[in-house]
Amino acid sequence: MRERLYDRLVQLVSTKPWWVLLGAFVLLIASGVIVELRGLKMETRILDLLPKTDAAAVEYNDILKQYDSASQIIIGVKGGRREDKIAFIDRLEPRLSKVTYTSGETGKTAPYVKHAVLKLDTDYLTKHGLMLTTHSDLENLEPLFSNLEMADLLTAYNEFLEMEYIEDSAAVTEREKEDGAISNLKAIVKWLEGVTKATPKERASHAENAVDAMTIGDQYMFSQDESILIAMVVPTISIDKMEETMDGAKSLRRQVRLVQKDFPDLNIRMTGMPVLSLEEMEVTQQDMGFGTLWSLVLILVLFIVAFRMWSAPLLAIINLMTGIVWTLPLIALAFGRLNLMTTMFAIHLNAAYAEARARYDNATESIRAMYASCGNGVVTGALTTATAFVVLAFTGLDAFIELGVVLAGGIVLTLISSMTVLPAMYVVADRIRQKVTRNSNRKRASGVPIPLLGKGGEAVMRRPVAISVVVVFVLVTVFFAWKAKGASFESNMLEIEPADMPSVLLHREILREFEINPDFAMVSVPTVDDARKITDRIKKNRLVGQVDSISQYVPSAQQQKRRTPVIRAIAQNAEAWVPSRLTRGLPTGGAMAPFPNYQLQEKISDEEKERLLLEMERLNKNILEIGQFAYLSMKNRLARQCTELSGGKDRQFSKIINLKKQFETDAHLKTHVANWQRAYIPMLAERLTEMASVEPLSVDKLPTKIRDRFVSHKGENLVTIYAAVDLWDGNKMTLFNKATEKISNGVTGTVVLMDRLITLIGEKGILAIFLALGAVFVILLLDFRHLGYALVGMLPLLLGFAWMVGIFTLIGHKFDVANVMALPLILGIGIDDAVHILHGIQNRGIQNLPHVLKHTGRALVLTSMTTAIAFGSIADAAHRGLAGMGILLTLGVICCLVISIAFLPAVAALIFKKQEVEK
Amino acid sequence: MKRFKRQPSRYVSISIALAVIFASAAVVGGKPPFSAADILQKVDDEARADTTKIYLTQTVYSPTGDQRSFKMVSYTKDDNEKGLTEYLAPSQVKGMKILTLNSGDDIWSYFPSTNRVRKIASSARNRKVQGSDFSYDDMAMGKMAKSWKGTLQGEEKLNETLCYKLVLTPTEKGPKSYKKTTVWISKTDFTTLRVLYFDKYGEQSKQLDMSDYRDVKGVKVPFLYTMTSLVDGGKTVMKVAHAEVNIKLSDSLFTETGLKK
Repeated sequence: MRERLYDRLVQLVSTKPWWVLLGAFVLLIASGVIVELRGLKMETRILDLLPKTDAAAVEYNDILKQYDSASQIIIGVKGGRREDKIAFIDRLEPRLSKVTYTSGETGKTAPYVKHAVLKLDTDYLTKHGLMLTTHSDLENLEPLFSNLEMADLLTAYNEFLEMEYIEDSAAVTEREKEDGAISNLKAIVKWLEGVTKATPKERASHAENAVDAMTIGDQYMFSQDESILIAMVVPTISIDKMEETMDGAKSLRRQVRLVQKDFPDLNIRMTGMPVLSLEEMEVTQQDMGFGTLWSLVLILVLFIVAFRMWSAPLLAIINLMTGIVWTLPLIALAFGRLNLMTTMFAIHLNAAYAEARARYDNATESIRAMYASCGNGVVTGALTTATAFVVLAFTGLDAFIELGVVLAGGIVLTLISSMTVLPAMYVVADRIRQKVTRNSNRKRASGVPIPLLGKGGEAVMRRPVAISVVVVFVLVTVFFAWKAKGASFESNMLEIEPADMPSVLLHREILREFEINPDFAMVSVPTVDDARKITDRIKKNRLVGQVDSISQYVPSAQQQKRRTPVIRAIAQNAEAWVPSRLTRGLPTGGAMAPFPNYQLQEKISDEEKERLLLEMERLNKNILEIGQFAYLSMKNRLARQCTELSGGKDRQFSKIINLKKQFETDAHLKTHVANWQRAYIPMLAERLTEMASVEPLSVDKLPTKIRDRFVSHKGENLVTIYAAVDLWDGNKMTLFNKATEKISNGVTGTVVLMDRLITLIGEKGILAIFLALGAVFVILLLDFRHLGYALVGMLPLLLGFAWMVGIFTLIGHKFDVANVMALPLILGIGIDDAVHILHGIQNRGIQNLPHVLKHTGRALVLTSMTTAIAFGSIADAAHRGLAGMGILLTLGVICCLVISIAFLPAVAALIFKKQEVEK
Repeated sequence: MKRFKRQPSRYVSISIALAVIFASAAVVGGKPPFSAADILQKVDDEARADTTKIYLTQTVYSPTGDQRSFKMVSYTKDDNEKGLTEYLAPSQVKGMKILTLNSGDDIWSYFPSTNRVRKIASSARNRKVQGSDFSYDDMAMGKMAKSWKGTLQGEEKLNETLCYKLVLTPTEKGPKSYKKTTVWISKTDFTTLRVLYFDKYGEQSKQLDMSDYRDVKGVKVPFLYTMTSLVDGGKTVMKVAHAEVNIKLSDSLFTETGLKK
């Protein structure tokens, strides 16, 4: 049947080559039109790799549709002074409205930033701050703010610290308490420093900051040591619109860079899924771009050297491009390496054609000889490879289905192109050459021979040599298989990303400095109470760094009721210190309120001064002790903060003690303290009364900015759970996901999806390998119709696989989620060499093994070198996952080649020679 | 507001609490058909150490990837009713002492850097002890038979050792933070090899493995404790370097004023 097909093809391409080329051209145009009409875009989302029915994927999609804020970009500002970082963020704010993206559907630009969380929403906190404080904390705050004069307030602060963080030191093991302790300690020091401010203006400004710090904490999101300031930007579009998302991220990056020009000391980076995806795509494109360019150049050189022809590379590239464009309507354009790989058809055909052209004096006969020589090998090789890939579809995992279909489709279409368009081009090229040289019957050189192959073939025909070769290869295989046992899996996803990508660097810095992972899990629940239950339960887990939930802004009715009397008591205390309220009573002639001492006092008393200094000493001791507990509890941020303030074991470095010394040497300390009291007390009292609103809180009364972050269009509530651990580390990711799964079945997020994908790739990857092996064997059996040939044909694949994994492990590489995809690929690629050798043996007989090796072997060396060049070109990619894949595939191709041209002939010589003798 | 809690380094107490509670000198031969209560009583009866002095290294592996080791010496007296732990290293906590009295109901802490003794609240018995995977409840466990009741589930091999497998629930005097535990007690010598804890939601929360039992003056003491959090992957390993039992310890060692000495 194949012979008839080849005859027809010979007739077609030799008589109507221009028609064949025209037909191919029409198909090219049609492919282009289909691609244009259908649209072809590159999608790199994890979501697309998972089965559509996967529960976490379904939930993720649902959350993306419901909540616009399900993705975010984090801007990290480093370097410079605190003021510079704040100025940068403040300058960036108005520019965010200029950040846009272009809609893929309409082509119009639209705003990309829905809202930005550059600092805390102080309005809401200022009004309802106390109602949002837990009952137990309120009980501790009540005595704290009963007397606002310095000595008394510092005494109360010390008691508060002792009760909250020393006596209840176990509580500091919880994240919220640690944050509270850091914030309180910073506030106290800032407040004490107010005494040193000389002018009323300085005092007023400092008092404002100190009161903010004492009541609502830092407005800006600084790390504990204030080395990094972060801000969050929430896009208007969800991350599932990947092209638009990346476009928006690019636009944001432009605006950030524009503002950064005015702040040369600052180092700005961005992270979050949109930025990470953008940078990953840019790096990958760069890697692939360089890789493709290099491999094309090398392959061209290889063709020229191997065939001594200038036209061969050109024709092969045209053939390759035809295959690619024909494949485009079928596939996404992500698999450029497939197309490089499929040049092997052209090489085989070109080698056979060149060889035939050297023997025959016209193109038609040469093409006939070409089909006879390697047509079967090319077709079987291609079909075996395509089948090995297409069975990946039966794994049920979208990642493998897409990969398998794309590769198989590409191979079949390039095969068709190679069997029709390429020979037609040979004929046309021949005719053109005829016209140019006026010598139609010139025989041509067949290319550079590889004598070693022929000699090797002759050698293995001798039984002792063949046995020796087999023994050596078996021993080497045993060694590599033993090494392969030590193969391990890299579960840290960061290890496959480019090492110096800004988003990855910032991601790590945030994790280190804030102990929060920018990646998160999400769960959507029907009610605020559900959100509260989940929040309360999950935030106690040490794997969790932060939980964002609407319950933080809306306490339950019961909680509000319980907090109300304590808030009223705090407000009542504070009101007594507000000057405006005191003076308000005077004109009426009513009972004069007791005028606080600080209003009239020019100086504090000696007793107050002594007490203040003593309390500063006590404060230092408290901070030392809190620091020691924090160290024991591995609360590193708090421990660092305490060491910074108390000096640790070295008293001379204590900020508190140095401030105390400054106070002691200040001859006018009593006056300065009195001045400072007059500056901050009214503000603090006013703030406390302001914060003491007992107006019932509900979702409806929340500011839109806050409500939109948490409440969906359907009225559901989003709880976002940030990890405290490195979720790039697969083991920690799994633990984190297990912890969140316990609180709800509906937890999703990229971390959940990634975990699912890794698990599925692990499970389905093994299935894919066995399916591919099975499919390859069946095709070989059908093609050779000989069990022996089919079994021998499998040997290079099995041995090559062991060699590849063994060497990969030996040179210190680990498998990861990216390069593991190469394992089923190599089965498809690796079988090709064996098929060609065995076809040669079957066609020409085992006695012609030297000839087979000399000619087919040479083509195999060239095809493998081409493929190795293509894969090798990405072996030094910045994207470490891609590089690993390149290394693994290059190794696989070389191993399969070496085994196919050395071990396989030896085995074939031993088995088939004996069979022929017996016959 | 004053709350009492037990202190971190009461790990030594754990050594004892668990060694004393679970571990036991061998009971050889015989096949009495034990009930769970019998086995618990046996554990209590056989593991007796009026006083102990143990040098140990505690290494905490936090879920975030941090790791920290502490060297400490721990004393207990009166069947674990009194305990004192002193940190020996690293320098950041060297000299810190934790005193526990009344089986952990009263706890004091001494800070050499400030030369102050502070009473520690113990409101949260189920809280983790200073970053480790042990809770105050773990350390507050008294006699096994008083703290737990349950059923014998049968026999099961654990690391090649045939064990009694008991499912226990806390008694009124027992720990409050667990719904139940599963305990594996060696059938040969009544040493406790593993305790699997279930939190108040009934989910597995952590696992304590005790091994390297050594004979110290007739009392079998585990020299290696590994508490693994099944929730967050954290782990605390305690290696005993040297153990003494039934030695003379002055009462003054276990006083508030004694802490400053």
